[in-house]
Amino acid sequence: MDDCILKIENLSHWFSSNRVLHNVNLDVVRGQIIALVGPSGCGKSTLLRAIVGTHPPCAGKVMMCGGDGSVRVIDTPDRERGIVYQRYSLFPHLTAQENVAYGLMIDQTSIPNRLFGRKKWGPLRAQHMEEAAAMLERMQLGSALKKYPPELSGGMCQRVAIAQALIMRPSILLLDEPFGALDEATREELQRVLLTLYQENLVARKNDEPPPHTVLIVTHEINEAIYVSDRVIGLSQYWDWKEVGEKTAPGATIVYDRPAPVFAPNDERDFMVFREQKEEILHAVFDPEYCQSYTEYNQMAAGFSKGGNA
Amino acid sequence: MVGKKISKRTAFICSSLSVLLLISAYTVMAHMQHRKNPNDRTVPTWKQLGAGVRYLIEKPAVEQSDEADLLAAALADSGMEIEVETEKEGFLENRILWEASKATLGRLFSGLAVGMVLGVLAGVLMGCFLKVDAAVAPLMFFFSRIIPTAAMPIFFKLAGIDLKMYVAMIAFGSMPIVTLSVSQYVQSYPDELRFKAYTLGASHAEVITTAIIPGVLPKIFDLAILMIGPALVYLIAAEQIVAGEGFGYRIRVLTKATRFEAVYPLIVVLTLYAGVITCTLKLLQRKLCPWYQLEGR
Repeated sequence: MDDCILKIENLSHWFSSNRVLHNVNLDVVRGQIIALVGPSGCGKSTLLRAIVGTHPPCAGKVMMCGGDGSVRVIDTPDRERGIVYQRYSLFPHLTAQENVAYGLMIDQTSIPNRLFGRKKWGPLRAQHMEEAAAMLERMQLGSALKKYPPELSGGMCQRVAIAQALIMRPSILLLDEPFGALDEATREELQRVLLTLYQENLVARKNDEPPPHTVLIVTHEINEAIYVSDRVIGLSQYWDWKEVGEKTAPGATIVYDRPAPVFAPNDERDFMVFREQKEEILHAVFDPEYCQSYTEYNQMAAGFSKGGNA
Repeated sequence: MVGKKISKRTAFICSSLSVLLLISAYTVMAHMQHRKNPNDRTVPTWKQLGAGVRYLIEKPAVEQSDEADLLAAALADSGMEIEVETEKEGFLENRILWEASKATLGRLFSGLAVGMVLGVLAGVLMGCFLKVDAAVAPLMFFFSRIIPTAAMPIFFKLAGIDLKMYVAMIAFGSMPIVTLSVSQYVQSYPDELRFKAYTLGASHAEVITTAIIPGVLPKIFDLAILMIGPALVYLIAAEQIVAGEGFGYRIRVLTKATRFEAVYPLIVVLTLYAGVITCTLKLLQRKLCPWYQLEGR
């Protein structure tokens, strides 16, 4: 069962003479929870923007895969890819509940509908608000329905933002350093929210249904990356670009792509378990002294994905 | 310590003191002036000011007929409500203060409304579409620097001296600034929220109407409050030159007749109007954008 959701082909990006991303290739499979790590300034956010569609890449393609093997090139944001940002994650003029109901409103009605079709719009709105309330209830935010974002704590805001994106059932949920501004305890709570999503995937797989959630989370925290994901991808500008004939630094590319251990939300958080992998990532991705061999990595990656298919 | 907080009571006492000080200083000044010249009208005593207020409220703008007085007396204890309404308006219409308020406020509201509506529309367009912004911004910047009072004779010449002219002048005076400000607000609306609206399926029109406009609405209220000041400046200046009614006209005529006991109350009433409009807009802002108050915390 290898159905692809998102495909990135030979993606490169640069800002005038400053090259940021070099030849990034990535396949995202339905049901994966992927963590994207890398040193600061390596272009993680640039890659994410290209995936969202707000800033299309200078070269190469980002594509969404259809169910029948067809692909569609992305050049603008749409409702296939939900996003949670670190800052400005909610509309300040809407309450938590209205924020979550926003997507449903946009999706199921139009401006003329809402202005002139009062009779239909009223009951539909009530239904949307109910759905939104149920969604927030699931995120343990039942008490915050009527609160405006400034009245919510940072962690609550991010939780509402996840609910807001999830209610639209996006093909893939993108998270851009979502917990970066939160304290450690709140961070942990939200990481558990992501693990819950993974559990829902497992349940669906058991019942032979397609897993409902595919997630790509950008983070600079390696522990977090290994803890919440089942696949860690390392993006780094430190690789042996001189060996492949480049004269100037060509920007970051993927130098690390490995599965990560899966945790249940209630498991004890034991960092010792993934200490070894953390060392490995620190070495391969974050160490400026060490230059991962591009060809070697690609051969390894090819072997890995073949192994994964078998 | 610098910036130390004070209690509400202390704040109240301090502000009362300053008001009391102002009133007593004026009283002393008026008294001294009248000791020098008992017929002085430039610094009127409180008694003279009272007479001035009465003059504004009671004196009809045109000759008062006995009938109006009789009618007023009859109104007091008759139950003829419907008759009263129409007659009362006609009756009030003759009073200086009423006539001046109607003329000035009517001009102010129509002018500001036109300026704000056009300015907000143009500003949102400029903020959302940067090509429009690039094309229009330099022109708007130039127009926003023109001093409307300096261009006033042109307005008199082109638009006559009726309501149309005041509306054109106030709108011209406020619109460029409103446009530039609103375009600024729209452009500083967070990118993240704009993108997010698109990822939730919004169309361009929906991003503008359901995300950006509600988001900048409270700032537009603040802007409207700010624009009352300049609009009144243009209006009163124009009224002092060409109008046949309104505060500017009355102030000019009464000053010429050195009836300062009526001029000062006129200025105070005008100030009160500006204060009431400001408060109303603030209230409306709080009602329509309850979230805006929370943001600063």
